[in-house]
Amino acid sequence: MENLIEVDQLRKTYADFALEDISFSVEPGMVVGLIGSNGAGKTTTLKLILGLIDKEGGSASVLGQSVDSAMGASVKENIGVVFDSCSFPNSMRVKDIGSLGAMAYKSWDELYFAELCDRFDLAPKKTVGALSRGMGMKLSLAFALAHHPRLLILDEPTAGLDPIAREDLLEILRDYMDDPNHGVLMSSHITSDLDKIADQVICIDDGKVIFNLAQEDIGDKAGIAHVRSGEVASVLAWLKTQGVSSPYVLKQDYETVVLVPDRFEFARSFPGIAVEGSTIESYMTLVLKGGTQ
Amino acid sequence: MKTMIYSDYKTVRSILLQLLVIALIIASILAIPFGDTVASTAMVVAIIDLGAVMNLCAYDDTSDWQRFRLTLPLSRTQVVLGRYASVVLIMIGSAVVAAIIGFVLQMTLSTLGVEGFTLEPLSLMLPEMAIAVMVATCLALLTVAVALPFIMRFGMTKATRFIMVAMVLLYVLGLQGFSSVNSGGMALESLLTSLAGSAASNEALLGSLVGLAGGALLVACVVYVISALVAVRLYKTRQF
Repeated sequence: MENLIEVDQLRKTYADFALEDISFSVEPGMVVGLIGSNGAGKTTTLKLILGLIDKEGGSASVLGQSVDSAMGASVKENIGVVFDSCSFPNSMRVKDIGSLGAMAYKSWDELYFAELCDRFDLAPKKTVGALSRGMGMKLSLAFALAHHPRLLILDEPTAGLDPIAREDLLEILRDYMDDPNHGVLMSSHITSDLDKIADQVICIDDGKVIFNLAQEDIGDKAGIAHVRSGEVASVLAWLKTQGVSSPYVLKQDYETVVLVPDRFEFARSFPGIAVEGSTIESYMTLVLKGGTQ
Repeated sequence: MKTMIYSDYKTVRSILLQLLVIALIIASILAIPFGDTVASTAMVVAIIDLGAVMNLCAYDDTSDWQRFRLTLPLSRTQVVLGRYASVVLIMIGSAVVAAIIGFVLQMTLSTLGVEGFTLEPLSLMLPEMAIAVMVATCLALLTVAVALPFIMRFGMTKATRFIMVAMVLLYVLGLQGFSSVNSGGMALESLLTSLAGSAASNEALLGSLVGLAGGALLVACVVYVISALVAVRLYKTRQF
């Protein structure tokens, strides 16, 4: 089955920032998380994929069709999009948004939209301007899901949501992913959400892909070792024998923190050194803040 | 395009009501010193048309709406043509509403015996209203035809500075062109004198002026269509 998104060597240059040779893919059945610090290039990547800005090099295709500013309606029919804030005009009411969806999408499911609005406590007569940020994001998600798209592209969808609403949203995404043909590309600063739902994690920094790993390689396998200064050399030497030529290391006041690709193997080799499982956040922090040895 | 028109209508619906109330109040107040409702009728058209278009375009800039709209199954051409069609629909609506307000005001003020107001025969009132509505619509249409390509290309906030410059330039060039053609007011004076001279009655003169206003409106429509084609090209290159 063809990939839902295929990005190859994508490039875009601005006066003070450049996206350089970004490559990745989103396969059916996968939730891919896009992470990175502010201004790293996540939103620019999403804009390029959506045809909102023109690329300067490389290629991008969505649902088998090449992406450009004239992206066809047939492709957009199968994509649901949520930006980092509720994008509808403040004067529209929730039920107007439903009517807009019915007019825009051939596959619009009015009952499903009503069901989602009901689940999110979105009153049909309430205007967008009267909704809280969280409620606005829920409305955006309901709109994105109600035409049963094959692909969801979400830019910081959980930003500003309380923990319960975030869990609710993740639950809906899990339900959505029950269909193996579906896929999600989701950028987020709240990496704990991606810990729960992502299958693949792509970290972008300063316009470049820093790592592109399966979530299980980060959460289930990798670890953060807390090494005393006297043990650092032996740990680094051991990592080299494991094929890690440039390990990520962060020197702190009383210890040195080292990223290890397989914490179980590490624990067997160094039973006296504390090693904990990594999360996407700790992994990303160490990769971005730590130096390589 | 239907999606675009629908979203524009839903966006501006509550504002249209507010503009209508404002226009009604101002028209009623201004009608008394003028002694008739022709100017008030024209003003209702201008307030609703320009107010609605400016609000509509301002909403595009807020909350990422214009960017999000492009993720819907709409082409960029449909977005632009839909916006131009929405504006035409607003202008048709405002013309009808303004004419009704003009009639009702004229009849109410003359029935109440307000000084200067007489109940004119329909044969005079109708063409007067038609001229007022057509001239105001013509001016609004030309203004929007100049403004929309800039707004579609740069967004409302950034376009404002370009629109100001374009309007001033057009005003100066138009005035210069008009005075060179008109040569000291002679051409316009002779046209009006010839119209008045050839007209057998007031009704006939008004009929000629209706024709003149209709012709001007037709020219404005052509300019509006050209503006739409330019806006389509500009919008295709816009980066969001």
